[in-house]
Amino acid sequence: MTELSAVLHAAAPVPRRELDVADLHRRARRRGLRRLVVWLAGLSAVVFAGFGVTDGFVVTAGKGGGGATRLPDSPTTIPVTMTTAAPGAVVTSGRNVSSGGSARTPVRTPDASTGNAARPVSADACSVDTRGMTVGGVRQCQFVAASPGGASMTSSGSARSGKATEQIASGRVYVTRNGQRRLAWTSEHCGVDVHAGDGGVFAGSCAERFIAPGDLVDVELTLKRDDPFVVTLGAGKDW
Amino acid sequence: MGAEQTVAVVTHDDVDAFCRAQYPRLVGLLGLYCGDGNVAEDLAQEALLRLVQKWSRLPTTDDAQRWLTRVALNLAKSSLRTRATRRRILDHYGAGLASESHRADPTSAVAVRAAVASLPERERRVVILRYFDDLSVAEVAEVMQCPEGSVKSLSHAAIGRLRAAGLEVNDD
Repeated sequence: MTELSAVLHAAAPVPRRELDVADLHRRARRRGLRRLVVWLAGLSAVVFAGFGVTDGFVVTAGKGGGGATRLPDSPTTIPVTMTTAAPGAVVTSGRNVSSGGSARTPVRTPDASTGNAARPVSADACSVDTRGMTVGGVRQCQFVAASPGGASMTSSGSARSGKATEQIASGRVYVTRNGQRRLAWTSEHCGVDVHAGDGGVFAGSCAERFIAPGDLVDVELTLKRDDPFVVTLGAGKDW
Repeated sequence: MGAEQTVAVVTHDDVDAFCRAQYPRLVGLLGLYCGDGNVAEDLAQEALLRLVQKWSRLPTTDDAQRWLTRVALNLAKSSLRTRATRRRILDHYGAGLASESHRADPTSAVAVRAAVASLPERERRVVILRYFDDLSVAEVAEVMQCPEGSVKSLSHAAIGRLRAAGLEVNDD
């Protein structure tokens, strides 16, 4: 019988090379630097997310069809609702970087099912709202109209807040028809034919169905001031 | 143990000397734990690298040594979880144990390492800490963060397995 301790010491391997302590310090410094970079990147992401620069968007099938799709680069959930005429409708969402509106992040045009860039496809309507937006932020959706329709902007409680919906947010709807893109509707001129003198092609007003099937419709909502109530802008069928 | 005596005279300010003194102990400990000297050297360096990063937050060399042992064994455990390493070691010892020379001499270094490496993880940890690192039952319990009774029972079971594997050892 031999002592287990002696047996283990005899059997234990010994280092074949000497420890390079300087290399150890170098690797430790490199790793520390890498961690710092990752930490700073994370901090930047949080800060930018706070300002909403990297706002994403969510697509829902609409009218009870399916759930939300969160895109890979989207840190926040932004409500954009599509009422689809066919599966795979497309929406976009963007945001002004500055409150002056001169600088704008590129508007992304993702495929609703995959999040990849794609051409807009047919839908009955789309709507966006101000939930989670910061002042000066812009939210958009885009679709090719499958049905005739109009546009309107509503608030969850502007009457109670004492402010008109137009004071909280502004909405614009652009229609592209026969290759011509025109401003067809604005919340500031709701009820007014803003293009009466422009050939009358896109006579837009709150009550009118200025969207025709085949039109490419861009809906754009801008938050003008902080308000507890949610403003929703929609265009297309039933709006 | 020799390494421990060296550590006792190293000041806390001298991380380089501490690492140099700990390195052979760690390689031996990890070599017994995972049965592979090359893997043990890599793991020992990784543990020491982490120690360098953590050094300022470890108030004494005793704390540093305990922390280092725990980290090294945890690294070894994680390393063994990876399939490639496990397969390599099992293949190595599968071939090694089958050879006549190891059957003839169960106290050869390779046979002892194979026997220790085949122990269940906690038993292996106890055997190495208790009989290689020469820690007391109380110290092993502290490193393993378990009751002293568990250390004793694990140790007893481990020695039984080692004897069954052909190692004529006592636990004095």
